[in-house]
Amino acid sequence: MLKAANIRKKFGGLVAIDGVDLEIGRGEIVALIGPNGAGKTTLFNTITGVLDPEEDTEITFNGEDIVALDTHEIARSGLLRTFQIVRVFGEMTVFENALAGALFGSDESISQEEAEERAREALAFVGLEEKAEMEAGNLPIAQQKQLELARTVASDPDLVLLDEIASGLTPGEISELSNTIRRLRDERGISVFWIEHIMDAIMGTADRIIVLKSGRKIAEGTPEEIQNDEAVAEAYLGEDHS
Amino acid sequence: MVTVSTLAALAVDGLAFGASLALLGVGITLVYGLGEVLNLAIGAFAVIAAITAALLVDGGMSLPIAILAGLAFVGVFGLLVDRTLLSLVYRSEGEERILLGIFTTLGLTVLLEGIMVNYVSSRYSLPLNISPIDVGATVVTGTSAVSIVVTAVIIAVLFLFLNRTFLGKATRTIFQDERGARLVGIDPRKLRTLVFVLSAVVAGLAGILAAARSNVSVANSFQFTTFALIVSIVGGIRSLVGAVVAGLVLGLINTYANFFVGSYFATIILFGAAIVFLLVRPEVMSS
Amino acid sequence: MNTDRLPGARSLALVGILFVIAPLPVLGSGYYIGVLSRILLFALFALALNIVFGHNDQLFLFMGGLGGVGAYTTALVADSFGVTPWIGLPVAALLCGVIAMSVSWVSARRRFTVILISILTLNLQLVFSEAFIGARDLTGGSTGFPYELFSLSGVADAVGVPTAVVLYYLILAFLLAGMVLYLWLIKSSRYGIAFEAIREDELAAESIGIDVVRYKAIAGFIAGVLIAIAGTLLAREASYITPSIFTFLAVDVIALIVLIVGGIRRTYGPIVGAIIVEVIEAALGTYAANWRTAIFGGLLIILFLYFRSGVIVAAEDLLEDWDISLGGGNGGTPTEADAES
Repeated sequence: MLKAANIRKKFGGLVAIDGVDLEIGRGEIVALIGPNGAGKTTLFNTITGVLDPEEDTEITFNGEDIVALDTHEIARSGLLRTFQIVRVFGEMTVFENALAGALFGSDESISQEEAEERAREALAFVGLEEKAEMEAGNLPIAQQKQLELARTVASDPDLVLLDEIASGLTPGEISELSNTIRRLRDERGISVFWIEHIMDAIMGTADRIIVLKSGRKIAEGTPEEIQNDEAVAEAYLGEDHS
Repeated sequence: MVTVSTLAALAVDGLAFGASLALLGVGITLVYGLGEVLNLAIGAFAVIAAITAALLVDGGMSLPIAILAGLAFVGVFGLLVDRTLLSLVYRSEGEERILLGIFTTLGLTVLLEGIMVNYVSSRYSLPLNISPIDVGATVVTGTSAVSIVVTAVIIAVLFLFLNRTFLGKATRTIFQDERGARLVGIDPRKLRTLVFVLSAVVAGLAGILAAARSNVSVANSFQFTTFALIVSIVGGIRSLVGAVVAGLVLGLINTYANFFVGSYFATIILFGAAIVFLLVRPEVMSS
Repeated sequence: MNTDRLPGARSLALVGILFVIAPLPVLGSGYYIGVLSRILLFALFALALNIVFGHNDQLFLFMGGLGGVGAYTTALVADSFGVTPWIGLPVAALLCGVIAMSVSWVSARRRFTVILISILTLNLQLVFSEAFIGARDLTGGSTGFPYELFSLSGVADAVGVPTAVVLYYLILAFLLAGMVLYLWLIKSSRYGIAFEAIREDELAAESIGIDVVRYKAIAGFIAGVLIAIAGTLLAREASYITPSIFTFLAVDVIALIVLIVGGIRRTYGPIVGAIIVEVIEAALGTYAANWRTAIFGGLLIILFLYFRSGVIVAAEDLLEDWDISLGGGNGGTPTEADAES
């Protein structure tokens, strides 16, 4: 579904992403881990068109070349994302947030009624239907993160990129969220590409893990394989020695 | 047929006008660099200094003393504005502060214009009475020559201050990094006050030079502000050297355009230059 | 969510009726009709600013210049092609719409901050102002020319009222049309949601598929059209067009004050603000006309430092505070608010 070859991104002289290849298949949950500054969020920004990659980068989504597309066009082709620091529209109601996702996230010109239906459905999916008329900025952070997820769900995506969606949550909230992400795939057929620092959140959920360090992919495999990978252990020990 | 001597004389006049522009640009750049307040009242400061000096001359004071008094007056006025209005603006941060700074100084310029038209509504000039100077075949007006020399001296002193003195170095530190300045024990707020007063005096000098060349009225306030804005857009809002160079170049362009295509079109060229620079290099105005 | 076609249509109808009957007691007084007309005109300018700045975060500071382009174009098209100004006006509106749209498009494309847009448009304002004076062949320079378009006196004679009254109702018709457009745009169409999303967080808006550049350009176009109409009617109200009508201080500063006084992003903010500002101006007119500029300057400072959400909102907050203090230390107020939602 998402296929990328040789993703490269430089900031001035600094190489942030250095030739990363990756592929996310239909119905897969893939985690992206790596020490701080490995370039994980930069990779997301490059894939979603927020940053323009270097010349020879190839990224296709559902067979379509998306390197030259704008962020909103990529979103409309069914590739949505959430943000490391939650970015709901705080002054809109919870429902309007989901409605915005439903109205603009899909390519077909959707009718108002259908969009409202989808928004309600997406809120129910994450369990926020009770809060529909609340101002989104007044929600606790855990629910804002669920709302951000619902906003992507409302647009009926094929793939969502989640950027540290579990950080700052309690263990109870994390397991609920992991459950929601599995349901995303099982009930909705949505693939997930997921940056996460909290290993508990991904270990039982991800089918596959990609490890990034200093802009390069240093390992890829099942959670078990990654847990036993020496290079990965070294990458983390090298950084978090304290 | 335009002779070479005419072109040369125009160049001197252009540099003299450019000197005023450079001073205005430096004034707006200093304050923005230090406190992120785009002082849209800077033109009013220029006019206040010029009119004060002119009124004092009318009252019988000698020209040099009157000019110094005009500069002192606008300096004190700048201090007042800084302690009252800008203190309120500095309470907010980031983009919020920039926007608030734009609106309050805009309000201030409207307020000052509105007050001044009631008391000093005519046109004021400060003739220096210096006879033209012959340089080969070219006749240079004395006022233009004095404008250029005075501006050069003031700007040189300003750069010496910024590069050689402790206070100046501290100022430049804050230009780059406010936190760093705090770490070495400098109070940024006090420096901002100093620099704002300095910018008011520099702008005042620009106004006095303008009054020396022709005349100045209250209605020029906003015009001077827009000139300052154009210079800072073309030169880069955080670059003092840029402001000086842009001021001189725009002064030359404006004076030649004035001579060859007329004054309205010359002014449009100035604004056009600013627009082009904004579109091509918007980053010069960002913080 | 509102399901009816135009939410707020009923209150707008009520406001419309009030303005329809407002001139009846003062039909004979050219002065009061003029004050009423200026209320509507600056409400129209502020309405445009509310759409493009309030809801779209694009601070247009060339409303005077754009309004002038509209007014001159209306007259020049009518004059040079020998057609009625009723054809000139749409041409002018389209032209100003395209100019404003281009500014918005370029600014959005280049990711200008609100500050950059304000500085860019301020420069454009000054270009327009100079051009109005300089292009003497077209504009008549600073002396201008008489501006008595739209053959309103014919209508006035037929009905038996002064021309100014006919003009008032013409301006009212445009303002109400503008308000209908606003209600539809902001309150009941997907544009409203897109605008709000863009205003709150551009990156998040793009990331859910909103074409930020397109929506900003659309907001710019709509504002440009409204400004052209307001500018044309402003010149018609003066019966004489000169560059001094369209300066930054004469239009932009006042429209900004009107919008802030009335309350940014409030449906009736532009109208409420225009009433307050024009009443102040009318009061000054008799007592201290010379202090008008100074007072508006002071007002601008005070508004932005202390009442940025609008005088009406501030007054409401004040009343709310009183309610709470009257309630006698009622700590339960936040819980009530929560329970409501």
